[in-house]
Amino acid sequence: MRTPITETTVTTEPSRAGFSRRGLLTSAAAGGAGIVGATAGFALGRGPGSEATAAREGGQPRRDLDGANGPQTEPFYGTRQSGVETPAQAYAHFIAFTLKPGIKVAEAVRWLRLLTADAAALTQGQAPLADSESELAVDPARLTVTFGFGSNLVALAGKKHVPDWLKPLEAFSIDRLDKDRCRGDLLLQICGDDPLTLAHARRMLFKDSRSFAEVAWQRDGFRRAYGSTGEGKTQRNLFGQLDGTANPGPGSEDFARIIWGRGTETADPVFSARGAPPADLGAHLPSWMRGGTTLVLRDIAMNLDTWDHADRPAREFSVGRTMDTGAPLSGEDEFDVPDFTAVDERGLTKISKVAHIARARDGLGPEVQIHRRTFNYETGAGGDSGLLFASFQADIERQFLPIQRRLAEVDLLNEWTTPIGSTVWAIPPGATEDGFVGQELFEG
Amino acid sequence: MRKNITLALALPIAVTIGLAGCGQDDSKAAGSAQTEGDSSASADSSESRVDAEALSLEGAWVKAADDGMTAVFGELHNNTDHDINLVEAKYADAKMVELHETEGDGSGGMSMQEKEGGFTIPAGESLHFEPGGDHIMIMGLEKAIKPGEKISLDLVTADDETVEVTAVAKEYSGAQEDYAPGEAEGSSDDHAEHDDHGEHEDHEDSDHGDHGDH
Repeated sequence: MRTPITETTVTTEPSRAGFSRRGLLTSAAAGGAGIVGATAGFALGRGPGSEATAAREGGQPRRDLDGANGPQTEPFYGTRQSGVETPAQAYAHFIAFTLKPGIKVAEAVRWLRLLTADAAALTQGQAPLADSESELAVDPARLTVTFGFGSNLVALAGKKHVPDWLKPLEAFSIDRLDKDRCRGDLLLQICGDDPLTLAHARRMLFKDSRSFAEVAWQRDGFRRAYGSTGEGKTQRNLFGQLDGTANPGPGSEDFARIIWGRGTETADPVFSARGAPPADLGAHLPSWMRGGTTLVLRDIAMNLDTWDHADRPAREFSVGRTMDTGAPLSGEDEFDVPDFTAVDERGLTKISKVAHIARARDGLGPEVQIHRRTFNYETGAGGDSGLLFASFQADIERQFLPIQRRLAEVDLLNEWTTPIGSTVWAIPPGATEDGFVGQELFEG
Repeated sequence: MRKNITLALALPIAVTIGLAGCGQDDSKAAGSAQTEGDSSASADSSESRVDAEALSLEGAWVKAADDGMTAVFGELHNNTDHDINLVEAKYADAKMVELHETEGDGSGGMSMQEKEGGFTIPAGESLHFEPGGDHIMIMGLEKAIKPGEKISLDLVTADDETVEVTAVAKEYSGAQEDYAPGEAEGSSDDHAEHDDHGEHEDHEDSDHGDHGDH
């Protein structure tokens, strides 16, 4: 079912069976955020199931009553962990643990084996051993469990295995960090399209962690629910902005180079308008991380109250994109390449030099790209609100930091956003069927 | 059809998926342990080798415990075409192992007692050892069984065949032992269930607290 994507295919077949979200994504992936990406974005904007489309076609929006997403699974075993290149699910739980005193390699390996076995079962819709609520394990709904290692955990295998970047980021002037949200030796990123399944998975993983570790911090995030808008669309954050337009598409050459740090060796690869990223960004990673990547997780508080003071023109000026389509102020479509030299009738650049997108990409080379897999959070009306900014990249120094440094220096959005948590993680390769996540490190 | 599509997309990450997860892992582990156990422990005849492979404990796990009592669970499968009578289980690091059955007391409580004559597993069928049901009871632990650890035990049939099986230890707060009156003292299972419930709720509360603290 890999129907070539044309507008006709998508819009004339509003039934669910005719919707190839995979086809859409593959198309989007092929071009990243570039020229081909723009075409894909166009098609995506007209995905079936949206009320607008249904209305245009004279049909009615339909409720999905067949539970088709429950049995969907993402792979667990493999050379790479799921939950990185996996199209983002609707919900995420991030939970960080610190090792209990006295935990050595043997205990860490027992813990990782338990968590691996739990995750392997849960992600495939099966109850792990000793699951006292085994009925909650069915309907995985694309559950993924992604492991991140902090320096203390890696150091159990020997200090020489700890990469020099696996430490807190340098301090930024914009940071107002809560030190309790900057700790952790093991991170579990648990994502899925069903919140009940997720709660159960977290409970199982937590129960099998209690003997080895304490919870350092945790945070739950969300995006659009499965089925609301169709997969593959850029998510909106709580400011109402499209967030992640410039992401490399899953399956693309850009993604392979930017996140996994090596090219796919595809002949004639297609790149985004940013140009070809180097194919060796992952060359610096230690051998136990082959097949892995790095994660910078920033907990960014968003002040919805002061954001309310800003009217639409101020909001769009600050970001450099329109609020509705997410198009750069120099263009028409979300995936149009921003033109930072375009001027308006007064001779001013259409995109301000201090707008978010100008600071984040203008003048930066093709290696300075990341993949953000963001989730919103809000703890109730008037409560904490913000964004779990999960940034995956092969090389933090060459990819993440140049962007972060510039944004910390000047970015109009900083007026409403405040980093309050920050952690750095090594994402090890996936587990083999008889092994466990981290085996290359502890038994390699 | 959607499933195929899913796999197609996941190409860069796609590899074979072990659908059975840890259950299958354990059956494999048990399988190899049986073979080992067979060659070292039995050694009498080729017939015992066949029988040894005839029983397997799938999804085997043991409740982690520092001392005292614990229990082993899993699905004991009779892979042969004749009935097998399991009469005994042995574990090196405990004073005693018994095969237990559980009976409801009609009010949610359970009482457990030794199964006289052991369990008969009909040809090709399985016996489920599970919390609140039949189980292999280990008493007088001489060494802690820690979470994630793998233990092995020997299952002995009425024909005096021995099968070695392995079980992985899981932290588990259910499966609290309670004996039929007159057999031993123990806390009521009723209580155990309530305790478990309370703990769950506490956890949920602390979650919220954590989120609210900024």
